[in-house]
Amino acid sequence: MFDGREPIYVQIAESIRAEILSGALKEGDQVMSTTQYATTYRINPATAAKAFAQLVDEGVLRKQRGVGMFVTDGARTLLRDRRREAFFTERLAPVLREAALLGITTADLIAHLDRQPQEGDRQ
Amino acid sequence: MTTTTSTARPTRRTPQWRRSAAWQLGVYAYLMAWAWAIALVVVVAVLAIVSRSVDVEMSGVAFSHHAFLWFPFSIAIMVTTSLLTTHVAAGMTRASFIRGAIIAALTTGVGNAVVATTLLVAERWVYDRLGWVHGSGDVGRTVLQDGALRYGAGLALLFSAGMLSGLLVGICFYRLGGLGGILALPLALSPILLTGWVGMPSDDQWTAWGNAPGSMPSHPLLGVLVLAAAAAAYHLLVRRVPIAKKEG
Amino acid sequence: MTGYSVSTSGLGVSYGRTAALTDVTIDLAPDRIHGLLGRNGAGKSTLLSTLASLRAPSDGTVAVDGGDPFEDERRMEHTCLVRECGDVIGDEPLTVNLDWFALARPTFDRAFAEDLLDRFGLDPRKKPQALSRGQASAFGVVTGLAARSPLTMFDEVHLGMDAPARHTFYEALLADFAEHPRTIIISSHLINEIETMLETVTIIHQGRLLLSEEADNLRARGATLTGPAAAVDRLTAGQTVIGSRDLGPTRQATLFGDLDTAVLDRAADHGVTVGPVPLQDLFIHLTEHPTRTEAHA
Repeated sequence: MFDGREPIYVQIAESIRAEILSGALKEGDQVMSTTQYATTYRINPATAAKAFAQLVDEGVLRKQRGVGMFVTDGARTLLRDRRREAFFTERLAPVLREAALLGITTADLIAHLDRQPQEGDRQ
Repeated sequence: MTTTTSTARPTRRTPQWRRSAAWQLGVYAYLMAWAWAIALVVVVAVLAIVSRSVDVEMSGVAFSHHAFLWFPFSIAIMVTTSLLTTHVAAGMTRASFIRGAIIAALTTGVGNAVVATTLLVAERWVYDRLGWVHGSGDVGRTVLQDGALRYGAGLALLFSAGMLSGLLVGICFYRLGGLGGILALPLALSPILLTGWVGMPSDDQWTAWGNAPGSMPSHPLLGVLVLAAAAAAYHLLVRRVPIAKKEG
Repeated sequence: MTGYSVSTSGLGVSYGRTAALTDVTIDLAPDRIHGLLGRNGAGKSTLLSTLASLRAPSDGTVAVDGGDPFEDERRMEHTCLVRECGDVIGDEPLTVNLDWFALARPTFDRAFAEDLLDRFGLDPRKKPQALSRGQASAFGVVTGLAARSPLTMFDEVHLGMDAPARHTFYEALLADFAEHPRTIIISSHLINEIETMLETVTIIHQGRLLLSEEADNLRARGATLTGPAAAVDRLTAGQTVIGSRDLGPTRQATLFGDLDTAVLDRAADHGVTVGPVPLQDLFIHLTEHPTRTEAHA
């Protein structure tokens, strides 16, 4: 399950974000408790708690005392917006750099994009 | 004394040594109950059989003194060789084990002496009714000739010495292994020998090596000193001993 | 905070003339799960025995909850070491053994112990000497968990336990640890199984401390690169390669040390995937080619 090099709590946080984005976890859904996470994935409950704390700080999860952790309303939008920002700065920028290195012009890029299936057809 | 743990259970109020003494006494008491029951049956049976052919001239109960010196001695060895590991591995200190062990050992030794003396008094009463001689094995002497209290005190010293010797033998084997333990035996058995030699209230009380009148001056205070020295030796040998792996 | 802190300074333990531990200095924070790794005979059991006051140090000092635990009633009765040999009363039924532990340990939870006996499928009327090796180990686990001691140590308790039993152990340990935080030290050879539970890793090698640091930090120093052999070679040039495997044109290289993260970030561009190194592999490498690393907290 943990096939990344980042600390485990980072990977857990990422997987929860991914589940929210994909809709597997809907807003208002309860997330597994730290104990359940710990026993299911055989990790330290403190590690799970660290991941949750990070997500609470981001506003993605909220804690309901005595009940558990829930996905906040608007969490999906929040994550999406952040991802959109990151898409341009972290993912697209290096691609554009490489394109420049390879001598691909902006016109080439636009032509390529025009040939892609349109937004309606895309998932 | 409060602890820093936030568990719901209250702090133990019984000191460790007392818990240990109680557990060890439980072990001794169970075995002694059986031993005395068996001894009584045997003595009564033997007397019943012997009295058919001859007039009984010796105390039957006195014959059991050997058993009540050496059997508890062997249990005391076992207590040290196996309970010590369990005790410390369960988180209790060696110091509490030592204290508990000595208290349990002395209590058992004295307890056995009390039972033995009481039985002797009862036996003497029975013998008197039956016209038998309550002899001690020495010509012309009866077992309780110098008084039951004196005799009982002597037994208490001897049996206690036996228990402490058992503890000492146990720790010698524990520390030194099989061969070392055997080599240390004379030293570990010395409390029994010394108590019988110089520690008795009467000169010719029953001892492990017979009733011969002692040529050495004998005094119960010396007996007490021997016991104190034995207890001190046990304390020194156990107080920092490394705990072995459990056998088996 | 309910668990005990553990620290040693220049700890040395000798059996006669043989030194089992030399100059070991560690610092383990309370309320965490710490891993203690080492080859057979490295000195792990000696270290744990010393922490449990089963023996006194020959050199240096040991501190549990800030003080010397040797013959200290409070510290000793709140420290529980579960040894492979099992410190039980062999000829009394399990339930009498539980009586004994309840008598000895102020933090012992009898109800929890009985629940665990049930989970492991142990019959409380049986005697330890009649148990199989796996069952005896399981009983050791039961007593160690139910003790709820602020310092709880498991010394290779997995031996003899089959996979389902070990699974039950890990599950019960993590669930109870979440509920009742305490300091836990686990010594095990099955590193793969426990890797994700450990917060810190301490490795003892031939009686000396090899490293003692956060598991995350140790993991961050390892990486496996998988991809076309030429690309992998280019990326790993100048870094410490501790292992390499080829499958056709694909090479998998394992790196360990101060990694050039810039290089790793670019790996995807070259068709090379970067993955973690299992702790077990790091352990094997480190104990085959030991170099003293600075101990990190």
